[in-house]
Amino acid sequence: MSLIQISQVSKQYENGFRALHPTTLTINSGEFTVILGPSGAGKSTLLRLLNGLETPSSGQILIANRQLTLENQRRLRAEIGMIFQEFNLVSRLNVMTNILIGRLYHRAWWESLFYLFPKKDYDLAHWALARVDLTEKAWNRASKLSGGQQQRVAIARALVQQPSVILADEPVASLDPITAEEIMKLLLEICKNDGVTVLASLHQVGLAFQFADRIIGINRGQVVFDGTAEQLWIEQDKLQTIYRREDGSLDESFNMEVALAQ
Amino acid sequence: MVLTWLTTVNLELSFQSVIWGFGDIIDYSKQYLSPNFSEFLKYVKLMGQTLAIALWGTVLSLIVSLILSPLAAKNISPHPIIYQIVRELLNFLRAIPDLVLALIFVSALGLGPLPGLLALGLHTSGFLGKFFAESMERVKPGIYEALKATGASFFQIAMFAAWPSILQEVAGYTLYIFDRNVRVATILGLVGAGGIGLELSATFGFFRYDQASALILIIMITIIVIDYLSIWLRKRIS
Repeated sequence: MSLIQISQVSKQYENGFRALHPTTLTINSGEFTVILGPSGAGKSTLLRLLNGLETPSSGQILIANRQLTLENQRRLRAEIGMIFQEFNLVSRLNVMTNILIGRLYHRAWWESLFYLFPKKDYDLAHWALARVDLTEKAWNRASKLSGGQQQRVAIARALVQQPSVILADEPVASLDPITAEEIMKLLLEICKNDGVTVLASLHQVGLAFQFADRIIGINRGQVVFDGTAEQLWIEQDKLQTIYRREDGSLDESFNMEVALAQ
Repeated sequence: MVLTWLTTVNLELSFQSVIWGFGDIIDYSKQYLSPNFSEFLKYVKLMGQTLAIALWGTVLSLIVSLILSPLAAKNISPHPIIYQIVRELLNFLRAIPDLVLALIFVSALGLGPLPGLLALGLHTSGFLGKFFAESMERVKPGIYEALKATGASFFQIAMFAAWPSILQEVAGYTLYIFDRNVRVATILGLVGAGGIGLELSATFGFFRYDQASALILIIMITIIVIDYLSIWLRKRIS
């Protein structure tokens, strides 16, 4: 069943730079999809368009059959979890409050004024903390955690939104390879066990092959591959297309990424 | 050369009068050498009133800036027009000297501490509001985006991302403004806005330089103590 439908969506910035050419895609429920491409390919732009952090220059986006508009943007965002490369936690707040931020859409302004959350929100936050294996860190300040732990908190913040989909924008780019794999495993578990669709942008070919049900290859704002990891593994020339520069040469990260993947 | 001449000619500077008046200055200063502390308790009470004016002026300024600064921070303000209006309002508050505001409030509300408190509060809101807004603009944009991405409103972004992220700057700037307000509150008294300045003005009026000397000493000691306390507190916060 399709969860996200993107029809002829493009993004051109005011300075004329076209980050995404008209693109049509369908993301299915329960899939673990990786958007693969080199830096600056348009992966982040695509993800940011999906929850309205960027406004499309053309086309339309449907989330669970509802069109993403300025009017329903906040409501739809509340149903979409998002995690970032830099974790983006509020470093001065403790872990619990950072997670409860995921429930803000459901809280009135006066509750937010006094940082008030009902018991059911706390229960949800405790469940999410246990889910990311950080129960003992609930009252620690976010800035005191390691990078991997901070990303786990960010995942818990997304989980308390009870999202239908998690958008992960380069979720492991700032982490060491072991932690990166742990985080990817956690996202895969959430996808397969909790039924949350995951759409992650990555530049690491190896991780894409290891975890993705489906890989969407993107280069210079255009989708150049859409298929399974196995298909991409067989069609190595397609892999090169993803990393090919405008002048025909391959992006410097290509050889390293392929070597790591092998 | 011409510019220097043009800017000084109207000042009617006369080195002659400085030299001839030097003796008078010495004579005049001598009157301050024997401070009269006979009304010490009254002076301390008035100093306390000045401190209270400075404190509540700072509290008023803090409250106004807490409300206005998120609206004046370009990266989180809900609309560019709101941002522009609030920015201009803060500029306006900063531009009117507190002494002028105090004169206006004294005329409207009469003599006493309230006009001083309002003048300080409103004038320094312009500063604190701008400082806080600029601090909010320096916060990593990703933090605001992360909250936005959960469906949080502007108010929630201000409460959960902006304020906690700049807490240290808030404490530092507020202490600085309090420190400044203590000094200015003394001067505001001279135009009738309450506190020890009002008494100082009266002693000058009655040529009671011994009492004025005592008042100036109390003011100086208080300001030095507050200054050191403020530096110590700001260091601890950072």
